[in-house]
Amino acid sequence: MAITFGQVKTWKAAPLGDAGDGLKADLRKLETSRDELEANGVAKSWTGMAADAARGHRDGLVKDLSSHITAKQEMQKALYTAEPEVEAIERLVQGILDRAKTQEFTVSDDGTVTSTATPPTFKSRFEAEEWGNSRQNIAQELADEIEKALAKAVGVDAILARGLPTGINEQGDEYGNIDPAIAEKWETLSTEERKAVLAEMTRKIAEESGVETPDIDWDDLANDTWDDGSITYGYWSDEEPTMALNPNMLDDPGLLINTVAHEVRHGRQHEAIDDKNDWQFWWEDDPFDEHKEDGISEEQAEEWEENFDDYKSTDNGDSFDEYYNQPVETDARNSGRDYLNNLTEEEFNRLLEESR
Amino acid sequence: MSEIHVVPKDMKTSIGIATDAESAVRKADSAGYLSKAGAAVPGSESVGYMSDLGTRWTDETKAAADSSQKLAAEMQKALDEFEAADKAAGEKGGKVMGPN
Repeated sequence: MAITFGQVKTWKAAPLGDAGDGLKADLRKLETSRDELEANGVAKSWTGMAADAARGHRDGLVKDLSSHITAKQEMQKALYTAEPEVEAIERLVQGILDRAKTQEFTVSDDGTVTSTATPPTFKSRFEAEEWGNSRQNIAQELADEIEKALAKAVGVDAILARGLPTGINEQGDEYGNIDPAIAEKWETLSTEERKAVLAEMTRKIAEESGVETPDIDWDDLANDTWDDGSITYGYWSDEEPTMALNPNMLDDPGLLINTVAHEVRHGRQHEAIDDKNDWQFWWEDDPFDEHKEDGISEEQAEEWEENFDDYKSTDNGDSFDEYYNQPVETDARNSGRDYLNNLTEEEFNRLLEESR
Repeated sequence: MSEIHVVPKDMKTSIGIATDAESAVRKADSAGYLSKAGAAVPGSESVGYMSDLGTRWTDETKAAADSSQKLAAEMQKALDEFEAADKAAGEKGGKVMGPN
């Protein structure tokens, strides 16, 4: 569910910093305890079977504490990173509300800007139009600032999501977590700009994978929505080739970026199978070498080929687990997650520029 | 059979470290800080996960504190047994060496 202006209006930076400080203090206690246990938690002079057992016990405890500390450090970092961003949001919101009040506008919780000014008496139609235009301009400027605040809020959400350890946010673990700056930028893009940057991303990933750039079909899944409790993000068809993407997901950049990389990976799987089966004279280069260079083995390609020959799909009566756990889907899912996790703001901006 | 060697002073130091760790770790679950942070940014998706993370951290620190306590108890038991054995050996030695 999207964050509303009514919610962002109440955001406060200070508690994030305070929470970061609290974690820092707790981390100091935990690190001291962990280090002392590691150094002298079991007397070095103590020997015998009971001493060995105690050392095993202590080592397990130190390991658990270390893993706990690492997770806490990540969240502490996220809280400190988020704090100045929320401060900026607070300033933006205050500016919006002050200006709205001064200029006689109201801003509703859903971000709608409404003029509350009583129009003065005009001497001419021109004067009336000019007044109306100036009101319209102020309303637009306020709306732009609101959009900026909401985009920043999405970025903050992504910062905090990246601070979560594995096992808390299953979707993040499985599909990856978007760079907060990309999430913020995405909010400011129009639908056409979003589609264009995804097309450029597709072209780039396909080129790097040695796969023919697919046509993107935004229509086929247009009626596929969350209403029935599930949704198809996209699919790959190796004829042509074509990649369908679900336009209902355009507000979820993380999932769509993941889907692009996931689907192009299916193209790569087909390419690897074709290259494995390709015949060449001994003096010719083996086209499979490029896949080997990217860590794909012939055994893997064989497994994919067998899998595609017996592809599991819920449309054919197979269970979701059978679909989900088959080798080609597991591999594509890993590719989608890794691409999203590793996509930097710089690379995204480059793609955005090239898409324009 | 392994050789058993105990230096009571070292054992007491280690028992103290494990006991201090128990108390320090138990107080450092940090879940309350997450609740406060979550309340500062309502509507964000990550807030929903803060409470799960807080629960996990409480469970993890409790488990680690309990484990430290158990470690201290193991060492205390070993020390008590050693001291009892030492005392018994001393008494026996006294009988052998002392007047009839």
